[in-house]
Amino acid sequence: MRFSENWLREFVSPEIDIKALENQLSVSGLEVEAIEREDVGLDKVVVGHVVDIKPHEDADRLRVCTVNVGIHSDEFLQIVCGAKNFEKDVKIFVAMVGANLPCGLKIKKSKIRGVASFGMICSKDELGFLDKLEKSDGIWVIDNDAEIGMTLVEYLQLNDNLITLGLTPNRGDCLSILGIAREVAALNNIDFKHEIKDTIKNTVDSKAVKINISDSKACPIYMGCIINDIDNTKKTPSFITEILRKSNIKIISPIVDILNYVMLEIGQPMHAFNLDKIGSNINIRFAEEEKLVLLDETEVKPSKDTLVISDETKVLALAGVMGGLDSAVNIDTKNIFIESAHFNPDFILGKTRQYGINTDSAYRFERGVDPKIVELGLNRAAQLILEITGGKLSSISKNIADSTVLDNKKVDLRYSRVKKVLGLDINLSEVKNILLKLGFCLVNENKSDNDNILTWDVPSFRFDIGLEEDLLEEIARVYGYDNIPVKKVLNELNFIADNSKFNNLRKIKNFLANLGYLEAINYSFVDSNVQDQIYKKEEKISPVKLLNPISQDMNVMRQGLLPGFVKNILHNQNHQQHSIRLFELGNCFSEHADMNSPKEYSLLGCCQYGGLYKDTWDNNLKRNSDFYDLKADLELLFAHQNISKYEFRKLSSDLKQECDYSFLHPGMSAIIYINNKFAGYIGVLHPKVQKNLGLDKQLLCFELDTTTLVNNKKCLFNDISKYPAIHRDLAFVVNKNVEVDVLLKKVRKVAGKLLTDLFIFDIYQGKGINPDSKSIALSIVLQHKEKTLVDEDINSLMDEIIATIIKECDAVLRD
Amino acid sequence: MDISEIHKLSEEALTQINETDELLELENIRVQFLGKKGKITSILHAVKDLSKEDKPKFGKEINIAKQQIVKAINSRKESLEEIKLEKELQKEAIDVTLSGRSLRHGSLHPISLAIYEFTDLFSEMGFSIFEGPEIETEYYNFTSLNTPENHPARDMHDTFYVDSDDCEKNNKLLLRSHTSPTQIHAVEKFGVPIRVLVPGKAYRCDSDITHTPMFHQIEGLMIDEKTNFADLKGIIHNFLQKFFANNNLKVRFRASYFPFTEPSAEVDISCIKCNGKGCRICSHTGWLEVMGCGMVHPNVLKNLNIDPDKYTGFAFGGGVERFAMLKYGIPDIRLNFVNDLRFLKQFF
Repeated sequence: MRFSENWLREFVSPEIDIKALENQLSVSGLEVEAIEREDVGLDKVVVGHVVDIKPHEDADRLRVCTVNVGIHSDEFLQIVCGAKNFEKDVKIFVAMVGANLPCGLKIKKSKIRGVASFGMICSKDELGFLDKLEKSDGIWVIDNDAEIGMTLVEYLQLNDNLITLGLTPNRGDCLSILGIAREVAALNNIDFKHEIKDTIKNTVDSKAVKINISDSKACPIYMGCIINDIDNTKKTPSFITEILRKSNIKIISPIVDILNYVMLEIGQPMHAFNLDKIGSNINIRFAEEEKLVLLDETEVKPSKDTLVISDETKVLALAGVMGGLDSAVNIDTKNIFIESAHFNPDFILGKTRQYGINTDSAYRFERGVDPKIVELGLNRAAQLILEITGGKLSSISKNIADSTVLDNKKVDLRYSRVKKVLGLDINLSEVKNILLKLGFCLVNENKSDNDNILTWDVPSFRFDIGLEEDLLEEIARVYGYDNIPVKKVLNELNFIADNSKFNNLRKIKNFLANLGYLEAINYSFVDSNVQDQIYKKEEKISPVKLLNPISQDMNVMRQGLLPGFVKNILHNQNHQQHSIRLFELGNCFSEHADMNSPKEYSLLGCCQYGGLYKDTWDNNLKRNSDFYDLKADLELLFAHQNISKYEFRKLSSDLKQECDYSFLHPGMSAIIYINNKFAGYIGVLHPKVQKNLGLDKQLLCFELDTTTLVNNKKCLFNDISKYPAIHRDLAFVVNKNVEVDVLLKKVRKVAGKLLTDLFIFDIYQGKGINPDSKSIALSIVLQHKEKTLVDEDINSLMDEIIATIIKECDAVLRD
Repeated sequence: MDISEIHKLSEEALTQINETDELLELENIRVQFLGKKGKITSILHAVKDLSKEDKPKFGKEINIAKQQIVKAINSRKESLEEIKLEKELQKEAIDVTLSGRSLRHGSLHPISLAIYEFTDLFSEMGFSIFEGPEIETEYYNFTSLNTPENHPARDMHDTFYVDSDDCEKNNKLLLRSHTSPTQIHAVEKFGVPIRVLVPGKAYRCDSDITHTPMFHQIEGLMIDEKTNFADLKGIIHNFLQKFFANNNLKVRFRASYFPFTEPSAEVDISCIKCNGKGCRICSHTGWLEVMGCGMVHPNVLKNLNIDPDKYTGFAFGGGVERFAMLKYGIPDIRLNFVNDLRFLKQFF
C-alpha cells in the first residue's frame, strides 16, 4: 500500500519527521518498503500562460511562443516549441532555464534555428508524470484557473513523501489511510481524526434492487444503492485524482475513481454496476456452469466454490474480486447500482491465484475487511458521487444475512503473562492504555490473588486477534521491541539429540576437501530428460515428480547426485576448466511401488573429470583421471572412517543389485558393499551416455549411501609387536580374468593372524607370459605378536599359501 | 744414504700432494711414496742395512718424513673431498621457485561453512542439531504450525507440491517451504524442555535475482518453563555479534507476523558494509534484515500437547544464503548453485 504522508497527516500528525515515522512504522510491524519524493528536479517548473504564438520563420514544424511566468521573470519568455496541441491563452508548465528535469533534460538558454529560446514547455512525459500505460499526447495543458507563476510542486502538492508499506497478511486493517492513522496514533499516544461524517437519505424512491444471499457465511452483509441520471463524463476533481495517483491507482472515470478513493480512505472495496445492464435481482451465490467476461476482457469459467454476483439471468461479477465487462460502468453510463458488501475471507482466499488476477478489492477481502464499515463506505461513496457527477439517489437495499459478524470477539489477558512471556516489567495502566489506543475496549477486569484478568473487546477490523498471545504481541509492538531487555540465557545445558552423524558427515566433507575436492550444492530438482538417461526407469522405482515445477528442466526430484555433477561439469567445461573434482552430500528421492510415500535418502557423491592435476609441469602427472585415482580416494575415505570391511564387486557378478546400472561402463565399474551391506557404486560413465550428455571425456563417479558410511566404531589401540616382521614376495601366473581379490582372500585365509600387510606390487602381461594370462606379484608381510618367526614357521606357511593358490586359482608359481 | 736425499724425497712428495686436484692422483702419490714399493718404503727397507750408529738417525728422519707425507695426504684428501661434495651439491641444485609437483585445492561450499558456524556457536549454548525430511506433508509444513488451509501465509510460500497418488487427500505431500516443520518432529521425538538447531534445504516456487527455488534455512527452537522474549533477544543478539565478529553490531527487532509465533519479530542488523550510515547494500536504510523469530504460538504448543501456560519458548530462523552472502560478500544468490570451480575454490 502506497500513500501520501500529507494525506496521513490530515488524520493524525505526530510531531516527528519522516525518518522517525519510517522507523516507527517499520519497528512496529508495518514495514516501510520505500519512501519516494516526487519533487526531485521539478523546482524550476512553473505554471505559464501562453500569451502569443507565432510561426517560426525558418522551420514549419516549430512555433515561437510568448509565455508569462509571473514573478519568475520581469519580461515574458520567448520559447520555441515543436508541439501543436495547444493554442494561445492556455496554461501550461514551463521548465525555466536552469531546470534539471527528472527525465535527465537540462534546460539552458539556446538558439533553435536562429531563434532564441528561454525554457521549455513540457509534456507529462518530460515531467515524469506519465504512467507506463498512458500515451504521451503532447504538451500538458492544465486548468485555466491555475495561478500564473505557481510552481509545479505547489500546484500538485508534490512537497510530500510517498510511503510504501509492505504489509504482512495479518494486517489487512492497515490497507486504508484511516487504519494507518489509527496505528500511528497508538504508537505516538495521540488522538486521530476518525469521523467520516457523510450520511445520505434516499431522495427518490423508485424500483429497488432485491438482494438474495444464498450462503450467509460466505456473504454476511450486502448493501447497494441506485443513483440515476449521473454524468460520468465529468472530470474527477483533483483532490481525488491526486490521492489515487500518489497511491498508484489508475484514473478511469469519476464513478470508479470515487469508489477507489473511498477504498483507500476507509478500506471498503465497492463495485458499481451499470443499472441498465442488470436485472432487478442481485443474487450472491456459488457459481454454476457459466462463463463470465471480466473487466480486463479475460473470460473465466468460475469453479463451483467461487462466490459470484448474478442477476436473474446471468453472472455479473466474481464476488469481491472483479466485475464483469458487460455490466461495467463507462463514461456514457447514466444509472448505476453501487455494491458494498462484506465477504468472508475464507471464500475469497486463493481466488486471485486460481484466476490469475490481482485486484485491490480481492487483496483486501482475502485479508478481511471490517464488517462495520459496509454502510459507511456506501454512504461516503454515494455522497461523493452526488456531489461530483450529479444525479439522484433512489432506493437503498440492505441484506444482513448474518448479523453475528458484527459482534466483537472477546479475549482475556492475564497481566502476569506480560512478564512471563515478554520478560517485560510494565505497569497495568500502560498495558491498558496501549490496547485502548488500538481500538480495543476493556469490558471487564477481574482481580484475583496474584493476577489481574482483563477482558477485552476486539475491534471488528482486527481479524488477526483471537488469543491472549495476540494481545501480548500488540503490547510488545507498541511498547517497542527495542525497549524489551536483552537477557543473557543462563539456563542449564541439556544436550538431547545425538549430533554424531552430523559431525561425522562434516568430518567426511572436510576430508574430501583436503583430498582436493570442491563441495558442490545442486538443486534437488533436475531435468527428467537428463535423469532418465542416467537412472533408468524401472518397474518398481520411479522419480518423484513435482506438480508445479518452476520450469521443465527442474521437473523431477533427483534420484542421485550424478545429474547435478553432469550439469556442473558441462558448465565448467564451457568455462575452460579442465580438471574437475567435485563432491556433494545431499538428500535424494525416489518413488517406490511398494511404499506409500516417497523415499528420501542421503547420498555422498564424488566425481573426477579431465586432468588428474590442474596445471602441472611434471610430465608423469599429465594424464586424465582414471578409475584407480578415484578408487584410491574412496579407499582413503574408508580408512578415514575406520571402515575395514568393504568389497568391490564387478557389475555383472552382482545379481542382487538394487538398481539398473546400465549407465555405467560395464567393465570399469563396481558395486560397493560395506560390512556386507549394499552401499553404492563406483565407476566410469558409459561411453554412450557420456556422448549423449555432451561430455568430452570420461566421467568417474561414486555415490554412496551415507548411512553405511558413517561409522561409529570406536578407535582402539592395537598392540605393536616387538618382534621382527618377515617380508616374502610371490608371483603367480593366472588366467587374465582372475580378479586379484580372489588371490588376496586366499592369502588372508591361510595366513590368518600372522598377516600384518599384504599388497600387490606388480601386474604383468606381455613377453614371456601366455597372452591369455597375467602375472600377479604379491608382497606378504608376516609378524608374530609374541615371538620371532623362524624359517620353518614361515616356509611351511608359504608352502601352504602357494599350494592353495595353485590349486584353487588354477595358477602357476613364477620363479 | 744421505739425509738430504730423505729431505728431497719428502719435499718432492709434499709438492706433488699440494699440486694435485684429483683424489685418484692423490692415491697414486700415496702409492708412489708410501706403497709397498714406494720410495719412502724402499729407503725405510734400506735402513736395516745401515750401520748401528746410522740406523736410529736415518730411521727417525725417514719416519718424520713419512708422517709429514701421511698428514699432508690426509689433509689434502679431506679438502679435495670437500670440494668434490661442493661440486656435487651444486650440480644437484633445483629451481626452488618452481611450484610443488601437483597443486590440488579442495574446499567446502560457503553455505556449508555458514551452517557450521551456526552449529558451532549454538552448540556452545547447549543446542543440539537435528535434521528432518525435505519432502513433508501439508500437516507438518503448515497445519501443525498454525497455518490452516487458505491461510494467507500459505500464499507467502509458493509451495512445490509432489505428485504422489498414494497420499491422503487432506495431507498432500510437498517440498518443505521452510525448516520449521522439523521443529515439530524434534518436539515429537524429544519432548520438552528442548533446545534444537535445524539446518537444511527449503523450497519455494520463486526464482529471480534474490530468490532461488531451493535455498537453505537454519532454525532454532528453545522451549522450557521460563524462556521469554528477553531471552530470545539475548540469544539472537549474542549470536549475531559473534557470527559477524563485531561486538558493536547493532541489532534491531521489528514487529512482524508469522503464523507460528506470537509475538513475532524480524531481526535487522546494522549494515555490515556501511555500519548503519546507509549504502546501496542496505538500500540506504542502514539496516539489513537477517532473520525472523518470535515466541512459539500457543496453538503450535497445543498441537504438540504441551501446556502453553506452563511452557514458553521461542523459535528463530534465517536464510543461510543471506548470512553466507553477507559474510563473504557474494553479490548474487544464484552463484551458490552453479558450482563454478572458480567460485567454489574461494572459500575454506
